Amino acid sequence: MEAETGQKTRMSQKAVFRVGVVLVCALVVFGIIRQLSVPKSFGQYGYYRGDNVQEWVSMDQTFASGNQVCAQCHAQEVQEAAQAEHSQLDCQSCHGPMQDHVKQPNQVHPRVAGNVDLCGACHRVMVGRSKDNIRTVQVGSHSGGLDCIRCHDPHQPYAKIGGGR
Amino acid sequence: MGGYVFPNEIHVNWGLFIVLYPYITGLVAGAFIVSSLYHVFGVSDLKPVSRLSLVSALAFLFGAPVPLLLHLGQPLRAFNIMFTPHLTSAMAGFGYIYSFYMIICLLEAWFMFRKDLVIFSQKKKGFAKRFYSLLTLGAKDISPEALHTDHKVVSVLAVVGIPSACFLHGYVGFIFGSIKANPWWSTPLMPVIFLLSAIVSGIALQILVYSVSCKVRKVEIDIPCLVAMNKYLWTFLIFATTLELLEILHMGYEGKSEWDMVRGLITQGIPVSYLGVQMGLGILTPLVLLPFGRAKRRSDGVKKTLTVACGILVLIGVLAMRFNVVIGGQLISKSMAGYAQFHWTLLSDEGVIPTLGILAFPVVMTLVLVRILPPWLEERKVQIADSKVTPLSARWELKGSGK
Ligand code: HEC
Ligand code: HEC
Ligand code: HEC
Ligand code: HEC
Repeated sequence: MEAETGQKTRMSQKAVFRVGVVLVCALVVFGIIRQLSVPKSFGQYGYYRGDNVQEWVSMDQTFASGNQVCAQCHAQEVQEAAQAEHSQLDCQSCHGPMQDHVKQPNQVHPRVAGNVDLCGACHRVMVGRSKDNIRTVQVGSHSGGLDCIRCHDPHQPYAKIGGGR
Repeated sequence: MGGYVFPNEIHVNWGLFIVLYPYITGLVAGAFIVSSLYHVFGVSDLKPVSRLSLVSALAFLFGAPVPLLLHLGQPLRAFNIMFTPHLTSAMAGFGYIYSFYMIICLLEAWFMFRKDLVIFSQKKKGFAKRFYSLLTLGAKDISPEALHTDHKVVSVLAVVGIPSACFLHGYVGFIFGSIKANPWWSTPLMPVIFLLSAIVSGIALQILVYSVSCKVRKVEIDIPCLVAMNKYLWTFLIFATTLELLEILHMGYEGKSEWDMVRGLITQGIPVSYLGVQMGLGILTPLVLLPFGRAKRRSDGVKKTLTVACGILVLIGVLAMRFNVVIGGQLISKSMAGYAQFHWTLLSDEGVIPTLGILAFPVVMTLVLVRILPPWLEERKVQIADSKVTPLSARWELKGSGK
């Protein structure tokens, strides 16, 4: 009689036991996937992938280091630009990354379009853009659909339209 | 509107998907509480919806992370936060809290439906038979002792489930409430407000799911059950409203420097969705109408119409509340000198149509789950039996005055 009740309780525990096994399995699977997918160097220096530091260090430089590099060969443009309203800009903020061009000036000829998108990126009227920091224009009505460089010299914005203000 | 906002605030990064996240999570927590009202607190009037609400809680739980995953753009990234969570990140908690709660819900549903699963695995044929067999995990003992154990486990899980549900949704509120730089979010009341509005929306959802399911199955709605849900909805709505008003009145009376920004947000930024939809449609109207929907004198038809209508209003109101919190908070610039603009889109950029799609997902999930785990088998018998004992309409009043 006693053995029989024992048998019965064990049977009734079966469901709980099986669910427990499933849960433990799920936990183990999670552990294994975590082990496999967290990079080995994680936490080496801090809460990030340690190898990442080395990857950045060994990345190729795409930008030349500043306007003085351009000045070696484009002294005139650099000088012109330095006197005008865009003096504070890096050449590459409009021309894009230029390291390849500096290395192979005759092979790599990057072109930049002086259209509304280029100039509008900095001069378009936006809520987050204070007039105190940068002059802004309503791009469409101001340019009347023309490329901005039809009127403005990109290096000396007022040169073509009667000098600065 | 307008003024100066910082450049990184121009684009409202948390769009409609993130509005759905606390909304769906809230519905889960609320639905679970409804099922617990019967299983833990013994509110027997809610028996007809107790299993149904657990099943729909589960369905909505499957839907809760969907907007988050889609918002990420690369859904698999979500696992990083679980593999390498950072202890100082509130957001890192979600994966764990959600999973824990999911396990509790799954377990509770499994033990609750185990008997049905076993019976199905014996009666059905072909694929269905194998499917249900698999779901039983091979535990096919449905002797009274085994079922007794199941019942005990369900009770324990239901008890554990309540704090878990509260924690899950309180946590969602915490994410917003702990952003100290945002005056519209930063308040320790936020988790409680979220929790109560979650319960409110969950009850409203159950009213809807229950009455629709009755309509579809051509079964009489159990009026005492509906009236009970009406009463709970009303009660929790009062608590939720009190806290929401308390928060805003407190902020206004204190009149700290941020208040001007918050007032501007309410009066100019989101007046329609806040004052109109959230407060007017979602709170005031149901608060007035719900008591009529359970008054003794009203006919069953009026009770049904009013209660269901209020349920829908509350659901809309709570959705508006999530919108006002999530989007509204991002409209206030940290410059405290201007407001960003929210742009409605249809398709792109978390537009309205994909958002509705995500919202439909848990509903479809409910339909699917209800097919797999029919929650009404017993309920029908109960209804018929009950209706013989006491006239349906008289029961609530008897209970209410008796105890
Ligand atoms: C080693 C000398 C050298 C350096 C340094 C140099 N360039 Fe050049 N650049 C040239 C030469 C040579 C040309 C080609 C002229 C030609 O073909 O007419 C050129 C052409 C250009 C052109 C015109 C391309 C075209 O198709 O019309 C641009 C724009 C330009 N360079 C920008 C820059 C910028 C910006 C920098 C600084 C990051 C820079 N360059 C640095 C030598 C140099
Ligand atoms: C505001 C954006 C901007 C900045 C800053 C800028 N450029 Fe240019 N640059 C242009 C555009 C646009 C053109 C193309 C003009 C055209 O198509 O007529 C151009 C053309 C050139 C050319 C081709 C020859 C010419 O004059 O048409 C050279 C060389 C050049 N830039 C060098 C420089 C150097 C060196 C600097 C840094 C001092 C610089 N640029 C800064 C926008 C800019
Ligand atoms: C990388 C951002 C940037 C780009 C791209 C740029 N600008 Fe500028 N621009 C400036 C800054 C910074 C100033 C100086 C601040 C000021 O005066 O608004 C300036 C000044 C000017 C001014 C003089 C405003 C004044 O009255 O002082 C004009 C005109 C102008 N830019 C036109 C252009 C045109 C045309 C283009 C396209 C070829 C262009 N800018 C592209 C940043 C930019
Ligand atoms: C039809 C010729 C024309 C075109 C095209 C044009 N501008 Fe101008 N822009 C002018 C003139 C003329 C002025 C100076 C008078 C003034 O202040 O309005 C000026 C002034 C400016 C100023 C200074 C405004 C201020 O408030 O001081 C900026 C910035 C400027 N332009 C940017 C642009 C940009 C960006 C584009 C391209 C979308 C563009 N412009 C296209 C003629 C032009």
